[in-house]
Amino acid sequence: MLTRFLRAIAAPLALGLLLAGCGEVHDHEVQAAGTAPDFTLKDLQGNEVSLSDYKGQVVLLNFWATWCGPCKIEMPWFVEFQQQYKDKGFTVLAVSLDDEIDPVAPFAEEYELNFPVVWGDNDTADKFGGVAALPTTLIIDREGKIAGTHTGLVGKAIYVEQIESLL
Amino acid sequence: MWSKLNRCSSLGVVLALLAANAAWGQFRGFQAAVASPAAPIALEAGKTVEGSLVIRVRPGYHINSNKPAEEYLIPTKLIWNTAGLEAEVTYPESKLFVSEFSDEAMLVFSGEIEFKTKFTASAKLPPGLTEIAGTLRYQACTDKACLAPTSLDVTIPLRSK
Repeated sequence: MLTRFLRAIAAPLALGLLLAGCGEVHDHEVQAAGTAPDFTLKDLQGNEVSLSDYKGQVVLLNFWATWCGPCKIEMPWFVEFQQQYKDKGFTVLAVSLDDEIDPVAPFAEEYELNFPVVWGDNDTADKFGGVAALPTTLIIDREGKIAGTHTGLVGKAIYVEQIESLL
Repeated sequence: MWSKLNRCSSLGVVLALLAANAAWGQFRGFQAAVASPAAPIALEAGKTVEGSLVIRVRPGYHINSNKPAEEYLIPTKLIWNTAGLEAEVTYPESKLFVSEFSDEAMLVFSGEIEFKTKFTASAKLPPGLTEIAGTLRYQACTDKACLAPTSLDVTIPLRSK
């Protein structure tokens, strides 16, 4: 019960701290969240993609939208991570929360996204306790456990440190 | 896990509670933009009168201008819904915003902003009209995170003759 409560407020509390001007978003060690919930969504080619497809890999799970400015800042970093770490058992999995899928493929093409991009929905966001703001990024270890959560834009070095600690 | 809660925590909790019930796309009443009470105007068939709507964007947030620099961004749009009126909206002047993580400048509205509208009333105004109703569609961000696009119901009261 406490675990689920903490998970439910993790993102909103992070947003609260962020909006209170309390400095950069702190790494959220959401050990209490445990295993990342599985989901199945369609990618831009219409293929079904599940989070569990990547069990055994380190996953950077990113909730984003084409209209989100901070999300766009991160995307080139994620492209770089995918290129740099994919051979070590790592992938980015980007979940678009755009209301319509139409802008997503052109965006993916423009930003040369080299990782799976799927089109998400409220149900998927609810599985993670609700996504209070975008971007929201989770780092998931090889066992499928959530090793870190970031609500809002954080520095690239923070992601690098977390990813490399899990590879 | 919460060892980094500090002096910010109490305000953070308050703000978190505002969003605590929010699943994605359902911000259940939280608005980053708030309308101030508008001064009444008098409508007369066939004549044009100007109304003013003042919006306060909450501290720490900005909303996209009506003409954001990139097509992906969701523009702020004020639409007046009352039948029998032509409405010409003049948007506030936008400001340049640059994130600390990027060199790209965005055109945004922040702080207190004023939307002016020239209303021209036709002869077919609904009887008993007491206010002009509209919708402000916008999407808000801080310098690090964005909230879902949302709508704010706005009104300008009508002055009785």
